[in-house]
Amino acid sequence: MPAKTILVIDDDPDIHFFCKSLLEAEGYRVRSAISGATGLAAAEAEMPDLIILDIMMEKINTGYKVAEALGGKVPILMFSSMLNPSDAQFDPAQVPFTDVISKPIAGETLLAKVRALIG
Amino acid sequence: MKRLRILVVDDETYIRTAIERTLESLQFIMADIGETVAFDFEEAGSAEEARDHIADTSPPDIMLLDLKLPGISGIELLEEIGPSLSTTLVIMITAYASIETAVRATKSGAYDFLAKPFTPEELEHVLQKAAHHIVIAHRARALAEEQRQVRFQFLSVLAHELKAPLNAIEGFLNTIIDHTAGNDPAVYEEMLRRCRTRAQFMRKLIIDLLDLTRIESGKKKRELTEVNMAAIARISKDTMQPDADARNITIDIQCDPELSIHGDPGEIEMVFNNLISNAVKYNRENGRVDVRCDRLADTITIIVADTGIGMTEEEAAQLFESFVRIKNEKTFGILGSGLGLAVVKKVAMLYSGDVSVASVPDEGSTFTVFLRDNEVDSAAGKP
Repeated sequence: MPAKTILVIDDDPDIHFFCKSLLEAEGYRVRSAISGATGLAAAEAEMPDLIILDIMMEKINTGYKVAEALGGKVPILMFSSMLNPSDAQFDPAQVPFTDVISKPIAGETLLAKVRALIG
Repeated sequence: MKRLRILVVDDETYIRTAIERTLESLQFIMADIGETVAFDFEEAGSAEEARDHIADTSPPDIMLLDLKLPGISGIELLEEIGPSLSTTLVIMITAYASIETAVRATKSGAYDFLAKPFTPEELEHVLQKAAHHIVIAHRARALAEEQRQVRFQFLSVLAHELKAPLNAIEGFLNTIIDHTAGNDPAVYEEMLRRCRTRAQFMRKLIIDLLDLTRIESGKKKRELTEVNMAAIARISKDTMQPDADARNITIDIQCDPELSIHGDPGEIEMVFNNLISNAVKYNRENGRVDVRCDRLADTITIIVADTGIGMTEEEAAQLFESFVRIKNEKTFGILGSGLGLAVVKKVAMLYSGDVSVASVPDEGSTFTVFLRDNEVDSAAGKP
């Protein structure tokens, strides 16, 4: 069986390194995108098995826009490092993500959630 | 035009009617504060009715309150609900105000008095004064609210910028402690190195933040002296040299060794540090950083040109704001506080100067700072 592919969309290079280190050690194939726009393009070019998405990128609702465009087509694990739900320009309850994980990320939690979503 | 709500509380119908008639056509043009004010009339025949009216609607802008009322008196009503009417100006209507009554009413928050019987002119005079007061108070409140919002925005962004490195560091440390990234020791070593880099940049962010707030508050004590530009430029170059060497970037300084400005050496160093460090960070391998300082009459110009990634006009336009960092494929992985150029701009403004950028994507950026030498006095920085 080919390795499951995970697309990580985050604007922090260290978060990419972090996810890659953990997930590749578990045998997943990891692709990286550093902005909402490149993430969307990467997903549409080759739909991954899972998207890990930071909600707070260059603009507060970039992650949300990506989730909105891709929600339903692929499971989305959302990183939330939101300051305060009231800061957001949108209702977090409306974001079409499959699961959420808060930063700082505990490796075990990340792996457990990824396994639960795509095996 | 601003409309103010007036609640008239008087048990005498003819007084309420007389006031209503005066208000109908009343309009104040307050040229000094650029505002025109008119009034909306509301009425109550007793203190109890007034209390219910306020509870049903909302506190009016002005309450004309008769002292003598059947049942609860005007002054009792004022004592009861006055404290909750923080934005209402209360004007007492009174036929026989003793000093004691006046003191009692004032203590309870009455703004002014209107003696009965009064002419329309006397009423207008009292209202004009109150309206002026209200417009000014509204503006002060709106300004304070705006400042609160700006402060909140700034703190929100700052909190995010501080949390991002902590999130990365904590994530790495968790992984190292729990050993969740496989068995390659090189991966864990790399995580430790990344932790150190993020911690260093977090320190830089805090230092920039302190610089910025000190300059903005004018609290920073300026140590004004003759500052030799070439010497300060060299200090900044030396600080950045290891990073430049690592990527084979040449830093060249062209500056008359005698060129000096009357200013604070710390401030001038902030300008050079931030510009040279950016010029190295956003440069390409084997690139160049050219620093030029010149004087033309009382204006000192600092030009820092790099051969780096450059930026679009759109990106350049917002570059000097706090926490603005250009994020794209080319800047990915370059760390910064997002405050360096805001600091440069603030410093330039202390010297009645400014900073600008000319840039071509993939060719490089040229930052030009000009500082005036003669306008610096020993006073604290202008905001």
